[in-house]
Amino acid sequence: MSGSMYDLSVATYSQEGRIYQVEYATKAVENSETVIGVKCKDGVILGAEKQKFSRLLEDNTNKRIYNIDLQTGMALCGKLPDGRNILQRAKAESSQYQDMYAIPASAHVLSDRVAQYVHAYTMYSGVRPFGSATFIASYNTFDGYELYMIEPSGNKYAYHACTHGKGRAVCKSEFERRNFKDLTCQEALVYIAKMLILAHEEFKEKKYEYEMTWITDNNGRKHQNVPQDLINNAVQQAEQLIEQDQIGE
Amino acid sequence: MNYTDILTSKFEPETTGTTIMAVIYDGGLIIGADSRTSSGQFVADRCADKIDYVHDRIFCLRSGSAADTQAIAKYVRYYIDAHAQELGRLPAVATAANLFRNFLYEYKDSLSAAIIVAGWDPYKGPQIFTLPLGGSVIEQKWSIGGSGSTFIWGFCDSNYKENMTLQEARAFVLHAVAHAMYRDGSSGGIIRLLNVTKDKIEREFIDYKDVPVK
Repeated sequence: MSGSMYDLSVATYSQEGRIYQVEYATKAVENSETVIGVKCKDGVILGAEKQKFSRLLEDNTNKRIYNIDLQTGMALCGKLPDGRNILQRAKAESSQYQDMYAIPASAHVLSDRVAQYVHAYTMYSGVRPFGSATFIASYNTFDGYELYMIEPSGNKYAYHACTHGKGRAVCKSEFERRNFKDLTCQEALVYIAKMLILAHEEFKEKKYEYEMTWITDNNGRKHQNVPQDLINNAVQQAEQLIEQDQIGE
Repeated sequence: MNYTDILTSKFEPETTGTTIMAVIYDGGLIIGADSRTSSGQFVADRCADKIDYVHDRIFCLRSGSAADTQAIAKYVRYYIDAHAQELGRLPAVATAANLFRNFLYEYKDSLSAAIIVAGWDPYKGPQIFTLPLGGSVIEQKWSIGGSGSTFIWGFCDSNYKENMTLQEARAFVLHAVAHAMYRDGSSGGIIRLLNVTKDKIEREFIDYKDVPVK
């Protein structure tokens, strides 16, 4: 599929009404490492796979999931530097909102602000769209647990489960199969790990790290890293589950 | 003071030398205010409404320069409206208080304004925030303000009780404001009361003949 002359600038529509630059930006996200966000019975989990592309890398560096405030987290999918720019903006919005209105920014407000920012970069020829999709997970007393995903086009939706990146098809089918609303976060960890492992089927030989964070009733409703031992257990159990599935086949 | 003096001389700035009051009771809050706006010794408005609407369940009581407080209240009303639209639900009283406070603090050298922000929100129920001249914020269960308030501290300290009923709180506010109007030259006219609860707002107008202390 070639955009011929209509893909040179994000400020140009194609004849069919498409903006190719935004689609190319989305491609950049689709070709990158998988990120998942899931709302469970008692909380929200964000998960990301990270390939250890070099043995020289320190463990647990190049984070993809950050705190925006105590009860709000953001996961980055796609080009990390682009994502970090969006993250900075989200942090600033959240902090200024709290400063002005004396209440923490709800996810639906914050995600709206982020979406507007991302969208702005799809309107001018002098800038390029962000090659990054961002996931926002949060808790506040009035709205409960919320999960949003913002795409490079500026589209944002609230989800009870969402995913982007290379392994999104695998993850989406797992979402269909399993009702995460009936699982607690603790129970769901295994399935998150399973999805992240299956997401890189073709690269089985490479080493991967898994980054997971959650906000649950059990951890004070704060956005925190899932303890490493729980992640390791989940990964182990997930690998067994995958073997069983394969034997079954 | 003759007519030409008023026309030609520099006016004393129009102030709400005033008596304003808010009290939380069990289930809501009562707001009370007198109705005199004075410009020096001249009563510019004898039936003013010092209870300003900020949002559906948030009100502010203004004292100090009428111009300053009206201008600030107008800004805050606008900001709160935009904020509530984005939020999609009732704003917090603390949010309104914070917006007022930002003005009073940043422009403290240019303003002469003291405000009581009182209202109900679904998060913390009825709340009262006192914002004195410098731009500080104090949350209180009851608050009095304006020039007339100086005369009723004793009355209020003695008669305030926690968890009053609506009737008790209404009588408390009514008599307190009436006493202040009796002794303060800058307060007078009629008494306006407002009852703020979860379900509704009830305004009351106490005509001069019904003011209990005169």
